[in-house]
Amino acid sequence: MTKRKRSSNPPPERDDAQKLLPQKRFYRQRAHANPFSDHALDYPKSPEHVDWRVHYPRLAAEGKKPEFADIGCGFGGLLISLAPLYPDTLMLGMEIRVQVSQYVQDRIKGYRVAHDTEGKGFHYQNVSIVRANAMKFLPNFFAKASLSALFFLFPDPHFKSRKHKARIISPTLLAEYAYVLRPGGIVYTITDVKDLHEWMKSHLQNFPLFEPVSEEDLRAEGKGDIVDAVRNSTEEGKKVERNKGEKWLACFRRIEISRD
Amino acid sequence: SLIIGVRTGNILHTTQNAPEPTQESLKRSGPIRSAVLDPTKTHLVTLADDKLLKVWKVDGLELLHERELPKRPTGALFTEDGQTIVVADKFGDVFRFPSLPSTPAPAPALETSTDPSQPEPKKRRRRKPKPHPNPKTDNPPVPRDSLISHASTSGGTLVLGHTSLLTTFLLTKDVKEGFEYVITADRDEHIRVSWFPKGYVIEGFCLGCTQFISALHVPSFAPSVLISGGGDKSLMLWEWLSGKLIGEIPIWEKVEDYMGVKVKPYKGKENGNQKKTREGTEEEEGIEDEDKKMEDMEPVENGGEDQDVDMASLEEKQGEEIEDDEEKVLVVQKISTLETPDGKRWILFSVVGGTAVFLTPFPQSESSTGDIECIDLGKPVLDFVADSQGLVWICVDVNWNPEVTSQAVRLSKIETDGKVSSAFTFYERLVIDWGRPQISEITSGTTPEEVSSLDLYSSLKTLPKRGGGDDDGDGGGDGPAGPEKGKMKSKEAVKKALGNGEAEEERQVKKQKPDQSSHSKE
Repeated sequence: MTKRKRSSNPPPERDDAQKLLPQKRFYRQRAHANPFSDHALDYPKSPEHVDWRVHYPRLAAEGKKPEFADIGCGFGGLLISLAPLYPDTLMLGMEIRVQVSQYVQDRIKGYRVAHDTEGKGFHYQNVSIVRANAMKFLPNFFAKASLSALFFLFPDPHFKSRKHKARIISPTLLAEYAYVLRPGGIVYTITDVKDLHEWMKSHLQNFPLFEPVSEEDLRAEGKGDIVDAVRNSTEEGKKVERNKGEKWLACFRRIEISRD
Repeated sequence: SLIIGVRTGNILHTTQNAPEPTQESLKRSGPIRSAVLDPTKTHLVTLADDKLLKVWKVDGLELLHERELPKRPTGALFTEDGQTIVVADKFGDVFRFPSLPSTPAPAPALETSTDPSQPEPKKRRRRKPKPHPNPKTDNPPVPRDSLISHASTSGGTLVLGHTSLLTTFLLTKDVKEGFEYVITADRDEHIRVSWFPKGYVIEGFCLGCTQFISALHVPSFAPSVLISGGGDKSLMLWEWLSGKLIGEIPIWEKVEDYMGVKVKPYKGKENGNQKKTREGTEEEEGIEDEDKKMEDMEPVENGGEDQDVDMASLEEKQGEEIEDDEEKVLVVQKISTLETPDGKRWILFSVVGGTAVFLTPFPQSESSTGDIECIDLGKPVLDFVADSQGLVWICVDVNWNPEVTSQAVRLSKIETDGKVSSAFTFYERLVIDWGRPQISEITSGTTPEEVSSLDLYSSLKTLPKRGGGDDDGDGGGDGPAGPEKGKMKSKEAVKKALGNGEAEEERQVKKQKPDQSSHSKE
């Protein structure tokens, strides 16, 4: 991939609302963080110890909790798209990289302020992000069956086979995803790496607590806007478009099974 | 290996007289780390420092077979019916194996049998409550490498896995329905309760520990209660099925006085240093193309993560030892319970490197906590076992502080008032007999090198988490003034728009909450 040559013109002036938003170039971060090591991370002792009002000062008052979780939310593109579509649903992004999560935090803050003071755009009071290691600490944040949707958008492929255990979809982690998702809840996965798509699809298919659900069925249930956002709203998704790559979607529904 | 008759003190079986291949196998595997009997006490499983699961017949200590495990095991258990052996490994996975492997497996069928003693194909089954198999919806054939990240061996089946070092586990049943469960605990403060054998169904978690967990126990007289211990200064009691914390027993004050083995702590710097340098160079390359740079963060294989991500070795790599004073580190080693003939109930526990076995009454109500008594042995306790008569067998590390001699195995009795006596006349002969030349030769015939290679107290260093640096680094933060200044621009704008009052308020709320409710690994 060749790098674009920067033109010698200075960047255009930003208007007031844009000035509230963070600029990515100040949030440089390498793409990888090791999920297996101990980071200096804050995480709650248990879901009962989380005060969601910190994240959703206006909407968490009545004891509302997040229902959508974007695992590895990157720059928050999905959440920003979904927030106005589901204004009564609280959504949380989880991102392990410190700079990236900082960026999203600042971005959300900027949007909220722009709405309040300048009356611009959506209120974004229902979306937030936490810097967290979702592979280790998902059950610390979310109680059993508390989520209705889990998103895994363009996850790190970890190409080498010895790195496969670091993939976000694994036979052992699926148990935790099934635990936080309520029966009927949906797992959305998308990637432009065919091998990773096959991996995720086969793991989810073989996991007894998930059954595949087609895009048609999801649209019929009224979730078409979510599918569209999954496809198109993230930085990764847009990049794949630009490079004329293919995106593979695989969605699954959480089901219940009996003891024997 | 030795099996010694309790009543007579005679050596009943020993592998010293075993056939050559068995001796060879034992030598290669190294010291036996764990030995577990099946419910009928006719079979024994041993684990050593290699990846082999060995099953023996107790009578004659005959090695029946050995099977290769995917990773180095940390513990094994038999199921109640003795048909299955459940093994946990360093990587964080739990596998199950039929107790006695049968002939090679038939070709995997789409429908499964529920008999665990038959070898199962390597995939998990989806059990749908459908009367007739429907070829359209039944499992498609599994691609060979779909489980490659948690590959099983020797006919084993993956039960569950933690994304953390799995420290201990147990099998239990719920009181009401009699369903089987497996309770697993890890270094990241999680106690997880899952169905068994369908370990992929998580029933719940017992959350609230602030440090690693290293010991679990369910009393037979209170089967709905789970007692946990680890790095926290109290033992925790839980109603394990609901995950509710029902009691805490502070132990550190008493235990501290009996910490024999002390360690120099690791200071967590880990891989952070290396990565920071790499990131630094990336930074210096210049921030030319605003958008491009961000977008170009394609998956680059990280050179620093070359080794197999074995939880234990990764976590042991943390930092260098610094010339600090030695510390007393709390790692609860084993928890047990006992109901003496007079009906009194006790919790017994030991800590790694501690020179006593501790004893406290099992709490009758949430608020009651009795005193902690101890059986002081003067040598670090390696293991202990209590029987229903109140007799406690304790194995100590004779090689620690060798100037003071001691028997390798000691006997204590818990009297009705909870006091402890060091010997009981009926069994006195037994205690003396441990000094018999034959046995003492076996127990003390080791060189200092062999002893230190046993690494008996390694968990004192490896289990606690030391606040690591961020290994993705504040590359932008600590670095050039530019990014910080640039971030400030938008932050200033936000502050201005809000008016300082609100921004302050927001910050206050944020400051309070994390202190109360979260962990901070600093």
